[in-house]
Amino acid sequence: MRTTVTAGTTARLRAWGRAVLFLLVGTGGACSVGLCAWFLTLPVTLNLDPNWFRAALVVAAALVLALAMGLLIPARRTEVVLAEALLGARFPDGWHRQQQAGWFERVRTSLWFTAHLLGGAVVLLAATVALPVGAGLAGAPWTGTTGTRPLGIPVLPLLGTGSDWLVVAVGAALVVIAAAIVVVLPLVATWPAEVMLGPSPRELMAITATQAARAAERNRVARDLHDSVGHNLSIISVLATAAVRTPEEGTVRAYCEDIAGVARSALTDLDEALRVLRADADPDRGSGPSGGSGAGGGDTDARTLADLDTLLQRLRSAGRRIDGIVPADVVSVPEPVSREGYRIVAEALTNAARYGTDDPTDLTLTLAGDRLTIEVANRVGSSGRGRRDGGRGLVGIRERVHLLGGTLAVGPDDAAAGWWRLRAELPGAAARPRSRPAASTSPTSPTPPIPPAPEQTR
Amino acid sequence: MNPTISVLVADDEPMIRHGLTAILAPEQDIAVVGEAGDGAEAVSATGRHLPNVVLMDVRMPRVDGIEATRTITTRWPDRVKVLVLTTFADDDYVTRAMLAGASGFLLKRASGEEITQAIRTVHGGESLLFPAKVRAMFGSAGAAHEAHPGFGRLTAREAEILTLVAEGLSNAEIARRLYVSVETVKTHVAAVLTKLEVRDRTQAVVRAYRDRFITP
Repeated sequence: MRTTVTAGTTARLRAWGRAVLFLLVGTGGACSVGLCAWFLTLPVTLNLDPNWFRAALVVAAALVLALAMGLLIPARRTEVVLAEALLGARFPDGWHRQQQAGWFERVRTSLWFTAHLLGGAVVLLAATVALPVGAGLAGAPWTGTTGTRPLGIPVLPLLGTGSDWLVVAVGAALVVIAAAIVVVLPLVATWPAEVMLGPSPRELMAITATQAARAAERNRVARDLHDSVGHNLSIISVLATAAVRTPEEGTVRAYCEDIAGVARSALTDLDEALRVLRADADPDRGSGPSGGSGAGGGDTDARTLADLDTLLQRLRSAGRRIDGIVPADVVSVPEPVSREGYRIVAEALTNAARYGTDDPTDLTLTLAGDRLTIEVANRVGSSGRGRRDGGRGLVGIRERVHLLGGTLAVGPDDAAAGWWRLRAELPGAAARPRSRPAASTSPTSPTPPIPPAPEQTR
Repeated sequence: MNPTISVLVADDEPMIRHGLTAILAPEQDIAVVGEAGDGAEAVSATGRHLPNVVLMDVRMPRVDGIEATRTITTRWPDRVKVLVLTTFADDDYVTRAMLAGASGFLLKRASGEEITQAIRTVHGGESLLFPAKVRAMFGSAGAAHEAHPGFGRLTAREAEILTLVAEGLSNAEIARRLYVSVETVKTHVAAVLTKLEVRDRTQAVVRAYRDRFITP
């Protein structure tokens, strides 16, 4: 019991010590700002007569300086770091990426910054002036220091020549108050720091939007996993059951080949999903620079045709051969189309790697008028078996292509036997001035009834 | 001697279709009479072959399994029973397919015995496939539904038997429980199905829960 109490007390003492350090940083700031104010006002104050007026002018100038410094953007970051490290303040996870630099946020920061310096100054005065003066006063009747003039102010005469006890009482009160300030101020600074530096209503909304987007992305990945891995494992289960119940050895072998193929495909899907989840768990790879409220979750969704080079590089370094034409201006395709285009190319190339032969895959992107045409063709060899309907991943893509008003055709090439061809046409690909579209791609209208697919792949 | 149960397999995944056909091939009393790749094909193939049982995948292109189930069970209410194929039992689609008239569901990961037994159970119609699932479907209070007038016309005995059917008891088990003959139970069940205007006991139980005749 005793040990825990001691441990708790030690921890609290340490916390208090850190908070004192926080205020001392404020003290340092207050001293520098005060000195600056003093120098800056020197030309004016030199000719001013009453001392107190001069002091008031310096203090006012220092306040203005502090408030102005607090308006600068780095003030908030610095204060946040200090508050987290020294005051133990807690802020919402990842909110610093949502910080906005509007006037509301700046004024709040400025007020807090000034309060921090003031707090530091108060602690300094309490510890170095009020404490000794109070002690001196309280001891005056015995030490006979009637003439003490702290800061040049004759304290005793101010109190009149009343009883000694009044002097003692005032001195003692001064000591108690000064001590209380030094002890208590560090203890109560945490909460106002969280209030003044924490997320503003606007930032809270942005945080909520980001969290919602992230949750949506996680749900999407979970759904994809549920769908694709569940689907693939179902096929494996059914084929394995069939293999067990089939007497002919040749057929069993064919089932096993299918099972191996589907298992590989399930693993690829799983790998992709985990990659997204890992990227999602790493907040710094999330939605780009601060400010884009609701810019939309994870990292796969954000990739566009501009990322095509990276994809091709990755696949080529993995040993895939891809012959292709990618015009440079695909980079300027507007975002929703560009994102969908990327997904289509990625899915098609993945499927080609999964099911195709080792012959090179042809990739052609053409941008004509406002239409983006994506063509991917690869050799699938003679074994028709085990070939799925163009990949489960294309089902979702097909829906979105329809929503964008485009067409998607996948299937064996009629013109060239042994070739598998994907052709997607997306309208709305005409380049427009590069600005972030405010609206996200998520359609608000319900999914229209899927029109009869122009191709049929079985 | 068992009469042969004709089965139609509808799934957009060819490997699943081939696999299920191969799984059912060794069974003497089950014959796969056709395959379909989507809901529309399933409906037309059902019209062509009039199978006893349709194994129906839910998510298929063009016409999905729910729509196809509804069409098939409305068009051939006494002839064809639909068994929904699903990857996961808690899939929302399963519930919707059961409401659309499916007699039960079948997990794609089921063993060969489970698959063949499920087909026989649904075809025979003397016991309920997965009573717990039907009960769970209505676990969360659904929208209040206007009760079918047939519930008012049930005799006390028929109501009792419907409750036992909902518990998943087979005709033989109900007969033992109530000290009556299996034939009597069959007669009562048939009367319940007629009064409630449903195709099989699964649908009778679905309707009993949905219309709040039985509460989970």
